[in-house]
Amino acid sequence: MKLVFNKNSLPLFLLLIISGCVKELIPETNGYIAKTVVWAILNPDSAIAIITSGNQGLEENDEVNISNIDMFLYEDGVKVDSLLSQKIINTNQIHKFKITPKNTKTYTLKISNKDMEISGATAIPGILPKPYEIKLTQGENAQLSYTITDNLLSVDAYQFDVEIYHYGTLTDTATDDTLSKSYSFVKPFEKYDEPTLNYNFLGLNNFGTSKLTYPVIDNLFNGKNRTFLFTLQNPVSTIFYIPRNSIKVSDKFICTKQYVLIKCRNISQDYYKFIISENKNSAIFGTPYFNPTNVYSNITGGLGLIGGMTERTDTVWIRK
Amino acid sequence: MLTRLLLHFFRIGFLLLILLQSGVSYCQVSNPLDKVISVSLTNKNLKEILKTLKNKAGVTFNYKSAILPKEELKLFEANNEKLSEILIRLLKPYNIEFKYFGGNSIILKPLKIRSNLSYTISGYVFDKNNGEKLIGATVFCRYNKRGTATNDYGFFTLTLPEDSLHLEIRYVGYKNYKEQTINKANSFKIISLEPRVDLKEIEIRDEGISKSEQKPNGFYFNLRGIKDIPSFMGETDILRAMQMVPGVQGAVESVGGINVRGGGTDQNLVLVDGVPVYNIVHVFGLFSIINPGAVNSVEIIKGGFSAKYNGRLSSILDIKLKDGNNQKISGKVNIGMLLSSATIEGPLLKNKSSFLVSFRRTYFDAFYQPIQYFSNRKNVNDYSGWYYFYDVNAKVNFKIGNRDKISVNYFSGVDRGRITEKQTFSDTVKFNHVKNLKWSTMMSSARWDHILTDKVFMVTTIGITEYSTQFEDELNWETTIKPKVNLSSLDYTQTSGNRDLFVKSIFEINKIENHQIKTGADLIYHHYNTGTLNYKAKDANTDQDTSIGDKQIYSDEEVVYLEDNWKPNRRLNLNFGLSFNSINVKKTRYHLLQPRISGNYAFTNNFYINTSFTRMQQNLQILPNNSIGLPIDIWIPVTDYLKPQISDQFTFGIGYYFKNKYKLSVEGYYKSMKNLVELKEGAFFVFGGYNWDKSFYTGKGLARGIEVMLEKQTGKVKGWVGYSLSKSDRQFQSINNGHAFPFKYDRRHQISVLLKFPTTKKHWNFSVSWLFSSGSPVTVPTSVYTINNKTYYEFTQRNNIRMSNYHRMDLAFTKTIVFNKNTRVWNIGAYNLYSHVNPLFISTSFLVSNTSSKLKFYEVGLLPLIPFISYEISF
Repeated sequence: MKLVFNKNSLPLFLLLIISGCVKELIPETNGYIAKTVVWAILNPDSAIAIITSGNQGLEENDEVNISNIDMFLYEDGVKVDSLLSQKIINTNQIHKFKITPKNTKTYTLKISNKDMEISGATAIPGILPKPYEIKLTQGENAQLSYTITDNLLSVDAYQFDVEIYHYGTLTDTATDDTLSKSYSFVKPFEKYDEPTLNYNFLGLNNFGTSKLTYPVIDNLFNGKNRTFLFTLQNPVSTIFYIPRNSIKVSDKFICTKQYVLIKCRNISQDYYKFIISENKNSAIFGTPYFNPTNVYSNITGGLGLIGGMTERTDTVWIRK
Repeated sequence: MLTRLLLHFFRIGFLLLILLQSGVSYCQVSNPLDKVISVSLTNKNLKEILKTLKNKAGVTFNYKSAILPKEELKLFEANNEKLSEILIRLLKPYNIEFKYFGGNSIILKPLKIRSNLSYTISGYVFDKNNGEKLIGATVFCRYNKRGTATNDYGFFTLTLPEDSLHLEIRYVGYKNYKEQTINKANSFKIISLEPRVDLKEIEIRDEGISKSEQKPNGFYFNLRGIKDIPSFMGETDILRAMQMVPGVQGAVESVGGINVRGGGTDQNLVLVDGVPVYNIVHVFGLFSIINPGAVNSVEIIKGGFSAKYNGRLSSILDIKLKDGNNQKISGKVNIGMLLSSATIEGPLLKNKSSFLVSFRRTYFDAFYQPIQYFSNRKNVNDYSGWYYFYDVNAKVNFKIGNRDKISVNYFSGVDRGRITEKQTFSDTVKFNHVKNLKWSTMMSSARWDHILTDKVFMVTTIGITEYSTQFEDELNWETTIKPKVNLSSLDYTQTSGNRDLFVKSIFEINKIENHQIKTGADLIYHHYNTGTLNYKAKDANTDQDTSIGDKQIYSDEEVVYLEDNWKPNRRLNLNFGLSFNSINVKKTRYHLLQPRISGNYAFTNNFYINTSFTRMQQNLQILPNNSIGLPIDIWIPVTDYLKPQISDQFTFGIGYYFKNKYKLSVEGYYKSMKNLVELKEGAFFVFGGYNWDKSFYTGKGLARGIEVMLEKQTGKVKGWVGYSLSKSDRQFQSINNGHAFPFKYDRRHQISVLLKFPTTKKHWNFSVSWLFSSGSPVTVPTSVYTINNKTYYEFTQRNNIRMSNYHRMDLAFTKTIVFNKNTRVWNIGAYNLYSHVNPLFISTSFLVSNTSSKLKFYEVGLLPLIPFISYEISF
């Protein structure tokens, strides 16, 4: 203590105090169990691809070390394809089946070797019918209403991506030179009304590059019509100023063509549960507000998800 | 003939001589009772005392040995007293009388009670200097060993047989009050006790003698007792004092309140002059909301709850405020490094009414803002923030005659914080981001104390208690060139809170000998706002205003209770209570009968055992989360789906006094809880949204432990060492695979040491405290994995590892100076003397290298060594 309070060692003392506020915690016990991670979203638009990897524990040698596995794919209980002697390592591996999934079918994936067997299953939603109604009001704060008829036989959820596409001529504001005669840009939706059961405040999107809205499960409208509303920035004027490089420079855009592209995705219940849980799992861990939440998984004996979805895209013209 | 005559006269003379001798002897033997003697005997029984009196007075006592009790008297003294008076004083308490028929023999026999008449003495006991009520003052009659204590309002009532003598009233730090002759009729007394002359003047002025007293299942402090404990930043704090009691732990570095015997921070009923308060912390738990300047006493009760306490499972924190000095204007000002406080009190009408106002505020924000301004001046972007809290206590009292007293009480405590971020994009657009945080507690009540009869005392209270939180996030883009245009703004505001309106009455009835009966009823109207989220967005093309939640829940709650405190003899004390609670919410009504039984048996004056069984019901709780507790936590009520929590607690303890200065106590407890709630995994509590209560699992909890305390109550060095060994688990069907897991405040070992030393320097005092507890459990992932370049954590077990052990030493030097009738106190010390930074929460990082990846955890702490100094003036 005498040394610490010596005048010359005061900076060291301060540093010790400050650095003492954060220190590493080494757990005494390790609950790690090696598990296979499986990820597959089955979509009738493409062949089935399974991504596998392994989980990693707290210690450096806590990682998946599984002997080669065999993969079997079943459609409504009937084996339709297989991939044999596949490798499972810590990093992502893609395994492609030849099968393209069909609507309303249930697909089961089984993965096994001499030591373990894991499986997961999902049902592909039915074909998304044409929406019951699409209406678009014009003018400022235009509202797009998109009415679907839900499938009574399945519990599923919906996500949307709404964008306005603009086509026209772009000119340099300063020189009035034409920069492009077929310039286009996209503006996303602004507000999205939701049933109160699902929390999709302000159109919060998932993380990553997807622009899809938070999913809405059909608990409140199973088998019925449901209208989703989107408020769009759709000013009457056809002249926009597009920022270029920095905010000071804007090019003038005269819009000649405008339309709204609505992508509606119907996802299986498992996929819905996964999306709902994944934000809570990673969002605020490491802060005082954290509440431990496992990401939803329908892989028995493993981690990850096998889910299903169908998608359709509709176009609504504003100005042709 | 002559010879015969002479013989005859000789016989007569001889007879006369004998008679005369007898007469002389008689005169001489009637004096033993008037003989003046002195004795001083310790730890002797009556037989041994009589033997000594026999030797000193030269008398013989005749009696049947069965009439003498075998108990030893600690001390029996007589200083130049007559034997008759000594015998009255010695024998009367045992209903033994003495008779003298001459000679040297005194006969002892049981006293026949000639009369069945009794009379009642009742009244109040106050401090003579300031008129403050003295709670727990002992009132007893020496001769028949009957006694009582003043209640929470300073009132006592004592029924005595008609022939009783010698009433005595005692309170630590005060001169004993004695009354040799008692009116043999019912009487009412107002008794003022004077501080002892052997106290230092500073002790008389400065809240008197320190009183901290362990009781079965509880602990009692007066204000001076709380001040003995080294404080945080020089600010005396009630919650920090409580943490020195075995079985009571600070939540996490005191953030969020206290945990008692394995219970949550929301399971403590905090009463301020009988009014329940929801939030008891400032600054996330570093300070309690009650200004110590307004406090008279604090008692924490961990088990064996009286039937009058209802509504929480784990503890009662009963805070009694001062009434205010009804003799003269007085007050104090305390200036510290982070905050200052002021208290002023005085009579509105001397002896009849008084007032007390106490105010406290931090001022760290006032110092920090200029620093931030100068540091941000040359930066394009700047970040700033401030925080402060204030609280105010106000109380007035009116005495109306001898039988009525009205008190009006008001409290308000507010915490406010702000974080501001400003950024400039080019020279034309500026971005402002402001986060505002506010939480507030308010309580207001009016109380009427009324003496219905000499044996019945009544207290009725009406009032309101309120707690609210608000979190606001504002984002704003505006142009910097004129005219300034607001380009876009977003505003999120989250509010929640609750309010109770109540009326309660309690009656203390002393009509039956050896029984003190309490009965009462509470009527409470609850209003909960489980959370509202308001969103506003505005720009050139948008003007939105949306709300989510705003679900208001109303409920009415009724409580009736009955309790009998029975003392069949001097050794045994039994308490039987029954409380009935009924709550109606959303057209669903819950009832519960809650038995409360406790007993205390003193084998000797030095050794006792106690045991208790209590059932408690709790109709609301803080929204559960596994993070640290924060004041923005939301209170959620029972609903038609969420049932009231119930606990059953059994305790057993022993206490032993030895060497006239030490007390050792050992207490064990076993507490089971059910209908506890926990958020479902992946569930999100949508502020009062549709079916929000379906987002919870219900489960059970179990807490058990043993607490040991060795206390030194007298002598130069005072203090205690406390230790507790405890275990607390929770179990929910769908959490942790249905297996029991450690409660987040489960700490196996807790040690508390408090030592108070007078120094050799005049008016200096020194105290040191040391706290240790085992690390809290936290949940960390056991593995990580990636999907589509996103990393996810896998949690296989709840609360699967422990943070580092918590330990901290605090010390304080206090110098008190009395100058011109004012008292000045310097308080210098250090919080966390050896700067062991205790962890507050866990942070994580996932380190990836070319060859390996590893998940690492870090404990983040808050408070290193903090020296402090404060100055207090009392006038």
